[in-house]
Amino acid sequence: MTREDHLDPGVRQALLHAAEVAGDAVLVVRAGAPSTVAWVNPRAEEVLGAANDTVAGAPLGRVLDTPADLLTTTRGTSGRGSLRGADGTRTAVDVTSHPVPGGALWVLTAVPAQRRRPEAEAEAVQAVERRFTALAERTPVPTVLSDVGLRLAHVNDAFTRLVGLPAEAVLGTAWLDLVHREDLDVVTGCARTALEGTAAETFARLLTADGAERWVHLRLAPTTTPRHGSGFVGTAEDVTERRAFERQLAYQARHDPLTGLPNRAALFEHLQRALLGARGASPDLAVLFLDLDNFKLVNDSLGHHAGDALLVDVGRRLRAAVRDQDVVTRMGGDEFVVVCHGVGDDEEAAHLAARVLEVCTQPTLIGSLQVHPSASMGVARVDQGTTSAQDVLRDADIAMYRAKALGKNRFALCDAATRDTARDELRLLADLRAALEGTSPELHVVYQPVVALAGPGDDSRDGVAAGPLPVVEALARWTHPRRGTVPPDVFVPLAENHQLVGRLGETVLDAACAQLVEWRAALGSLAPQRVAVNVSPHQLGDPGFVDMVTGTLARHGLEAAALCLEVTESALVADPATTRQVLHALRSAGVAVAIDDFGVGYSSLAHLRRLPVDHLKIDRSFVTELAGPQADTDGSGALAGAVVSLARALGLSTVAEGVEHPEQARALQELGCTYAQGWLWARGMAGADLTDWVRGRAGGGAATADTRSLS
Amino acid sequence: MSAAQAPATDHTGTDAAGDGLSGPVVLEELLASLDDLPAQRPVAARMVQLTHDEGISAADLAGVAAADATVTARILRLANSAYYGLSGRVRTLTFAVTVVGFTTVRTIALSAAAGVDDPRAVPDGFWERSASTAVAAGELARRFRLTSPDAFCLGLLTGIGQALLHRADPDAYGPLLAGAADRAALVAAERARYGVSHVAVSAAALTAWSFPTDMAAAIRPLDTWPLGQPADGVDATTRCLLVAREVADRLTGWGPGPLEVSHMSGGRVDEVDVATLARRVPALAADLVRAVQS
Repeated sequence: MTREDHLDPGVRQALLHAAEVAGDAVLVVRAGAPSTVAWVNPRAEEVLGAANDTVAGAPLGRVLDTPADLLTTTRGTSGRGSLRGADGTRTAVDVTSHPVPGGALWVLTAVPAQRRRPEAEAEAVQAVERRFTALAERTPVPTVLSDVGLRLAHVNDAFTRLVGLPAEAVLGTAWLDLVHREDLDVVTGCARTALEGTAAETFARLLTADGAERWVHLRLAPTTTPRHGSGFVGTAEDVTERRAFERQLAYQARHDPLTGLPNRAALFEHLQRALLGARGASPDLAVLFLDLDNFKLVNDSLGHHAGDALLVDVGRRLRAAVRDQDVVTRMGGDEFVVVCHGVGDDEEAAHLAARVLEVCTQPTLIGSLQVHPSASMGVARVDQGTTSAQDVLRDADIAMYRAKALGKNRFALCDAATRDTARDELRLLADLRAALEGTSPELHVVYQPVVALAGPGDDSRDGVAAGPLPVVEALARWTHPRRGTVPPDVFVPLAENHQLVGRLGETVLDAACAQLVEWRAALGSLAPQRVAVNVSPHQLGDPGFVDMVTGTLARHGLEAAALCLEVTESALVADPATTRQVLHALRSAGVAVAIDDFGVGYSSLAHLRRLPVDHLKIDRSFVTELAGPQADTDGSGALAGAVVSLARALGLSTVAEGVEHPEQARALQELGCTYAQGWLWARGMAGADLTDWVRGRAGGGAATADTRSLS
Repeated sequence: MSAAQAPATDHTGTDAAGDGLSGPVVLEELLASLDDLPAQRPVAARMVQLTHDEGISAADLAGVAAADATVTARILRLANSAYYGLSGRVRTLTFAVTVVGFTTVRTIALSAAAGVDDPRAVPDGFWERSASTAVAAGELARRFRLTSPDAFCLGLLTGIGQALLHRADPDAYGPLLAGAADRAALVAAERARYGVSHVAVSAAALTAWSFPTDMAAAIRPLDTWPLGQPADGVDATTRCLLVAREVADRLTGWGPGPLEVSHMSGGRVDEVDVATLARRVPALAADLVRAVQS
């Protein structure tokens, strides 16, 4: 029993009415050979231009062209067809067919196959697409379009020009054959990203028809078409020339133009990579830090061209002395660094260093002159404790300085002791730097009185001339928070070797000037007449030194005569021309100049005559010889005497240092020495203590026991 | 339903002939059997249904497909086949669906649902021909201003009628196909035995499976072609499929056909193009066959 069996006649009538008034054409078709029209509704009559009576019984094919498979007995179907009008007109329709249970009839509904909205939209989309296609076609940038996967559906003329092949030869997946084998992975990876919906880009090589290789910047943007899966639109910009230029720049940034060797930056990269690659395990690396001995001499005597030629020659020899995987770099100047792989222990490293050193110190012809290069080399092996490129280079550098200190033209290994010492020094250096920058009282200045020795007719007490102190020497002191007192002979050279001595000197000068101003206020006419400040040879080389000195004096409102600068004899030897110039400038400003430690250096007397100097300071070692426990066996003090005579001959005054015993003071007095300083009178003391000391002396009771015994 | 009870239609102009089986009856039976498919492969059938919805996402579709291991594997293999140029790089089903597109997913799901993916269920050389036709159609699509995925799917489905005929008449269809000297002879033999050609069956199946009507319409004229009808008034999709089928026929031992490809294609393709295609297609097609067969 079917649903229809329950229908009462009224409902049947209603359904028939619904078909009668339906807005779409309805046809009832009866099965047969051929199938025939059984009934059509008024709307169908209208379209066909024929009444139901005339079409009923006619073969279906006469009124409706439709696919053969439209009439199935089991299921509803649909398809395109056309209704044939009586006048020969055809109306395109979309037909749906439903078999009536029982198998003998179908109900067909035909609606005009009007242009459906999606089609109109598709056409609009196509119009847009045509515009974009035109754009892509005309752009000078090679452009590709895939419509599914990596399959190219379209390439523009610029792309075909780039690869030198017609479009047909690169469409589909054929273009992948043009991608350089080594770049295929990145290109497909890039395309994959685009296909997954994210724009992607990469650089890759394309092989052109003539076998050339072009670098392209491939930029792919995803596109999707409903039903079709994802594709991409991409540009392949030819960057071959730009890339070559960039590579050249990159090469230049990493290579030394003179020798063509990798430079410092490249060395750091290489070392860092090697350390990273080792991941905690020992990378078996040895670093050879090589510095040519006396290179400046070659440059100065033979000229820069010769120096350059020597550097090129040494670089070439180093390169030839090691294996391909080893790296030879020029750090700058006359420094080279060689990084060797596969060096397992110190013995191997030493063997390697000896060989490399021998190779690069062979005599060579520079121009027509035979030159015997010599080099000092430091060797550091990378061990598990080495964490950075800086560490290992510093170790090699430390060892190189040791090799130099040991007499040059040799190598030194950086062993644990050397490294510890050097690292300790580095820590100390860092502390010194911090102390100089900070305002803590770690670094401070003490003052040691310099007394005037009484001459034969002088008004004196205890052999010391009456009146104010002629000079007070300012001395830098460092009280380290953990190490305690660091001696000046440790921290002053440290400052000198690391460009800190200028700062140190300025600090001391400033403190000394301020102190002198204070003394003048506190002591009036008893205030020291002058303050003496030590100057390092490094400071004399600073072009701003004279200005700094005069500026500091002016800032404190002091006249130049209130200052005496003490210069070591060695400074005079190192760079006589500059030193003389600077001293002249200071002297003309009114500053007094003393030569410190006179007699231990190698001053030429002739030279001394031309120097603008006021005092010679007699080194303490000569004073020691005069009297006391370490005095000469004959106690003559010949050297001190010679200095005093010389000074007198040149019209200079003398200052004896390190006077500890009354006998020494007496001897100096007899020799005619002008001034003296030493523990006999006072050690270095704080500014305020010196105020008290001066007051004490003026009061007559504050002199030390030793002083009192001087007569 | 038995053949004897079936109503006959004749407006296709073909004659029912042969002993035991008559054309429309076969068509009816075949199409009726398609309605039973969901029961056999529910996941594949559900996918076919889902792919009609343009609002659905690749992830949704992949989510459904994941329940059918065979279909999942096939879609992944297909996306990784040389045809799409991504060999080995498609690892997720969602991406695979994105790469091959919904129409192709539907084709895969259909062949699974229809049971024609089993090599034993199809005539000898069936998938080789279908894959060659699909690849050739995909490669040629641009010449005809068609989108490659559509042309590819149509190429794959053009011959599906053969698989359906083979399933309905397993003992006779294989010999019938093997015995046909050329495509014209095959069409004649199919019409003589079943009343319809396999192309008509393919078109009917596409309609039954609710592919866009223009796809069935593009396939339908193909069976008139071997008889040498002029190419005028044939739409671009049909021409593309004609040439693709011609390329496949030549590769699988039939052809060249009675008409030149330049005529067939309306001047869009010449023999040089076909020779180029013939070099590219076999490897891509072989890869595809591996992908779509179990």
